[in-house]
Amino acid sequence: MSAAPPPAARTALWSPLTAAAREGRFVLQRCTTCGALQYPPREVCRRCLSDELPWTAADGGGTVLAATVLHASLEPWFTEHLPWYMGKVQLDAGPWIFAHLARDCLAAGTRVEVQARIDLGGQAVLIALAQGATEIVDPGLRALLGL
Amino acid sequence: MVDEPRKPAPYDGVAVLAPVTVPYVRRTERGAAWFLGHALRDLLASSGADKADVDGLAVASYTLAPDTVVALTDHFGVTARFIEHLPTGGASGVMALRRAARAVQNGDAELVACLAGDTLVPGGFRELVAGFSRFSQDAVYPYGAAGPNGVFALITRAYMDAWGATREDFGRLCVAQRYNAVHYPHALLRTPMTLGDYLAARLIAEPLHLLDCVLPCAGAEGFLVTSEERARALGRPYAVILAAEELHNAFPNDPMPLRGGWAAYRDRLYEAAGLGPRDMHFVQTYDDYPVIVFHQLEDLGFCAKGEAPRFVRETPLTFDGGGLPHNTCGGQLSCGQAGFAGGFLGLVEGLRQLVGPDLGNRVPGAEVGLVSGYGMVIYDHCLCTAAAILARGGRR
Repeated sequence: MSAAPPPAARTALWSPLTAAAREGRFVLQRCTTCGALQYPPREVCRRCLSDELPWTAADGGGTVLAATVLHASLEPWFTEHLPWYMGKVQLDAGPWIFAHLARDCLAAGTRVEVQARIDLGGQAVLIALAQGATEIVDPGLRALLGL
Repeated sequence: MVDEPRKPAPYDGVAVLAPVTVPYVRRTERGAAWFLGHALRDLLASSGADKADVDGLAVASYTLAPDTVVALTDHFGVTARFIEHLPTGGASGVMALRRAARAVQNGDAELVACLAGDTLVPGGFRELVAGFSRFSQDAVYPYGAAGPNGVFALITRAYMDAWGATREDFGRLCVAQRYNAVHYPHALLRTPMTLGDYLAARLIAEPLHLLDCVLPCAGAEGFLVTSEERARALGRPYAVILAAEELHNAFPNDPMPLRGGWAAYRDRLYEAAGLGPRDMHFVQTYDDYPVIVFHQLEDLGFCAKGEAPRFVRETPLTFDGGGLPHNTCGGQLSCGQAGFAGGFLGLVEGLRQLVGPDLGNRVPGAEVGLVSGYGMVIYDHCLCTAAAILARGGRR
């Protein structure tokens, strides 16, 4: 087992996402005024600058834009769990996100389902699994989530 | 952008001179102010100006924190009418140039020292990356903590997917830059490199390997901006600004960046200069990763979109190869990245090509060239872009 947990530092804006993930929900900020979904979390709406951005349940469907396999990391936890699979996903709902990727999702265009889960550091992280996947099989992801 | 913004006024009457580089080092006990102070000392010596005459300071540095240019006025004993602190990394060189030039044109300052420099502290790079931005802290760093290598691995992959580029294409660029570095005394990486060496480097973040990544180091760069009148009085050769532009958060709706802000102002830039890409005697791009050089070569009109792989196959990019001399000192990929000084490197090297002093890598007869910048990965790509066309002054 690793001594150091994955990096847990987040801004205060991140905590509602973590709170929802604890209940098994994936939420994003949605602007009350113009309806735009926001990511990463913001203080004001990217489109209309409204500060009414309640967290609302989001559709996790998306498509992989690009993926990488990391062979180096600045954090000890990831260094001990290399290689690491990470990528950028275009959510059907609008925003694009970085996510931990399942190993069978590395090709651009792969359809994925994004979930918010709690990692060993106690924070919500976004993971992307192949659409229709019923369980997390990657050892790295299982270790990250303490499964 | 729907409406074309009004054209910027010309940079008439402004002189740029005294390119200086404080040699890069991989380890140091010195603080950022040591490197910045040496850049100032060197550019005073190079220009023949007195410190007492410096009435403007424009500074880019991140390891100077918690201090800024404000503290440097005291540290260096400079009383300034104009100060500018540029937290803009790879775009800071052209941005300092633009701000200093306008200050001189408007009489807000007469002699502006533009400085960029950083030191290197153990563990400092991890700290920098982990806390680089709020967006990064929440939504990027937790995903493997790869820093810019991770973000640019994705941008590189997307470029390869879009245009069929290969590692060999990026390798040709890196090999040409290393050739240039062999002829530049301040580069940290001066061992000749072959395409085989490039391809054999160890994996960092697929598809990036070690020789796609810059070496963090300490160092500084600087130049002086003043009036042409003052430059002539100093009796030193100088360059003039034919055109300069910047744009931040360009193309905000591109999910995967395949272009940068240069594409939005390229035509204005060349129109203001009365020149085109083929007229450039050299180009100095911002080379944090090879793929970003490909973006710049395309977006600045040296080749069509998606054609950079073919361009680097067909065009010698060495300083003496007779093609398009590019990153003539080896760029950051061979010199190292001295923090925000990386954002000045291309501008200082471009100036050196125009006004000297010759450091052994002179582009024969260089009279006009282009410098571009790119900086600040707040989330998924760099937000700041800038470019300038400079020409040797007083002789055209």
